[in-house]
Amino acid sequence: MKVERGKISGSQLMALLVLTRLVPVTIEFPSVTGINPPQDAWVSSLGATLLSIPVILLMAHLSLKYSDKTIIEYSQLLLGNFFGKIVGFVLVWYWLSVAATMLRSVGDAYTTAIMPETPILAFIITMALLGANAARSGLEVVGRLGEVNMLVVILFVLLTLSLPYKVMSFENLLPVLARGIKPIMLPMGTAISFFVEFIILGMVVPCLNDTGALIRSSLGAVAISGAVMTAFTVVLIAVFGPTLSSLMLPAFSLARMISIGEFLERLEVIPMGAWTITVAITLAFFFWASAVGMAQLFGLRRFQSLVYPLAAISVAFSILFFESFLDLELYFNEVWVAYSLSVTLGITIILYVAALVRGRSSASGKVTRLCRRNR
Amino acid sequence: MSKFIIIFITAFSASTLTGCWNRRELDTLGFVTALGVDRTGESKIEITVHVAKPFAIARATESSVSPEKAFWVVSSTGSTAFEAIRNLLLQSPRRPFYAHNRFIVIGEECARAGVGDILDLFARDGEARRLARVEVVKGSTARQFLEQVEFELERLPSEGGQGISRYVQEGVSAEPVDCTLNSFLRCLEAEGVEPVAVRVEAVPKMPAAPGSVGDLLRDQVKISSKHGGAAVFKGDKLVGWLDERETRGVNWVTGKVRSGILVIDQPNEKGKLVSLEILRAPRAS
Repeated sequence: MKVERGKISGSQLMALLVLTRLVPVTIEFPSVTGINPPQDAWVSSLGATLLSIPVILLMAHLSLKYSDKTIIEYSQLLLGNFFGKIVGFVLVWYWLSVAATMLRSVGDAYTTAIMPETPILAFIITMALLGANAARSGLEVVGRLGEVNMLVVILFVLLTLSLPYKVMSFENLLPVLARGIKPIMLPMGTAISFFVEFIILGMVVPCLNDTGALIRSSLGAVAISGAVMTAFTVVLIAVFGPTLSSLMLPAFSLARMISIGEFLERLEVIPMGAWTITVAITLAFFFWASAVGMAQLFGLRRFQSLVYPLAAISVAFSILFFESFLDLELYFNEVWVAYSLSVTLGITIILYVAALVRGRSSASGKVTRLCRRNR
Repeated sequence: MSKFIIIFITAFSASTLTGCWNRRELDTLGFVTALGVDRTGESKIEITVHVAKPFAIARATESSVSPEKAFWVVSSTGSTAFEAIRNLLLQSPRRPFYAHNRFIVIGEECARAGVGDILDLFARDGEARRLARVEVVKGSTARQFLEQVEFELERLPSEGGQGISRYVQEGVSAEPVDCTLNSFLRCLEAEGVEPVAVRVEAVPKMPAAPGSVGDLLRDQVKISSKHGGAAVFKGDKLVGWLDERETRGVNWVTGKVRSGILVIDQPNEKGKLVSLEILRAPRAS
């Protein structure tokens, strides 16, 4: 019994993962990492990209062992019904909470940047509707959306990065690691904890039309988004120098610095377009994953009816979790690392160990057969 | 049925999505083109702004000459810069809009007392841009400077100032420093670098012979300004001035010189001078 029958290609998966990672990059990175001195932000993003490669590889490898099952299904297979369902609920909760933080980020970004008097719910609900509507149409639609729009977002990002060339001075990048490696450890952890959102690929593997592409596309996603993130931090430091840490929305402030020949100015709309596109598609992706996960946990035949309720829940979360934008930044600075890393890494490692133990005690085929009989 | 729903949704959105909360009509805004900061007695902060008068500019292009000033100068005070700016609303029928502000002019006394807390507002505010230039008035207050200074060739003083500071970017002259709010704050924040702002002075013009009528019908420009040299800060406090030659030295050191004139003694003839034009100077990023 399959809840999701759609198939997507490796490049579509890659696009979705890149967009997922670009949400914080285009909105509040690197301020969310709370890095001090900010000159080292680019070192920390480069380091985070490199360090997250083995983590993502581990996740992909685990999913490949059970390539016809989602992470929700094989966690029940590996840990038994009870513990497997707990893991499943934790994952669905995690995706919903990530969706809530994204909603809140984009809502706060809009209200902070241009429309301070508009109620934040106006943006949050619009975004959630956009995402949920796409998610209801299934993974194929979301995948195609991602594939088409990733190029648009990358174009937007490149424009934002290259147009303020006049105000960049690269001596701001120096000194590198003036206070040693210690102050960048936590920011690096924050950056990694955004990468581990890629655990969502555990939901996509059975829907890939070529499972062999999984490793390639997830690593490609890490490389592309890591490169974009590092380039972003380099440019931000070159433009703003040490004042970078006082910016709430670095990408937006960067676009405000564009002034070419006194007519190509006021291009704030570029990063705002990037926010809207990345958040809407990523939300669709996460709503889809939580709805499918939920449907599999409860043995439902369709996930579509769960999308709108889950989206509504995450809208409520996004309002209830955080009091203000500062609260959100504080959450990213202090709580998010521990939360995200422990959930995703914890689950991956537990499942991996369980898979190794099971694999040793009995042929994995036997386990699968057993499990099928259990159904 | 579904067609009905689609039509309903379209009609509903069309009637509700006509605008947003933060809509601001163009004719309710007063565009601030230059802004001055002073400290007055009782530790108050005084803000002086130039607000462009669009109708005066439009009238001028219609009939080629208009005696009306194209801008309005207004000041207000408050305990903080933000309060002073908000107090402007009491006098201005159009809401001052700061996104097109080109200059932040600081009076000398205010600069000596420190400007960090004032500039912080413009760095964080959603409207103001960090591309505004920071200038310090030598020997006067920003209010006096903004009230008096005009340029013969431009209707708006901020346009005149913009024209002069463009030379630095284009590399025609090497003497003034190029200092935007962003670079000022960057230097303020960084260790080992101190900020340098543009030095401006009011320059009195010779009064015209009585009775002569020039092409300009509007009031004769009595005081114009000169942008050159630099105001040197230590931390956020003004500590001294650099003249044009010294400022060119600063620009050499920071790698900003692209062109300009060097006047040197002629080597083989005493008492004569040679001017050299700098054509290609190595540029730091």
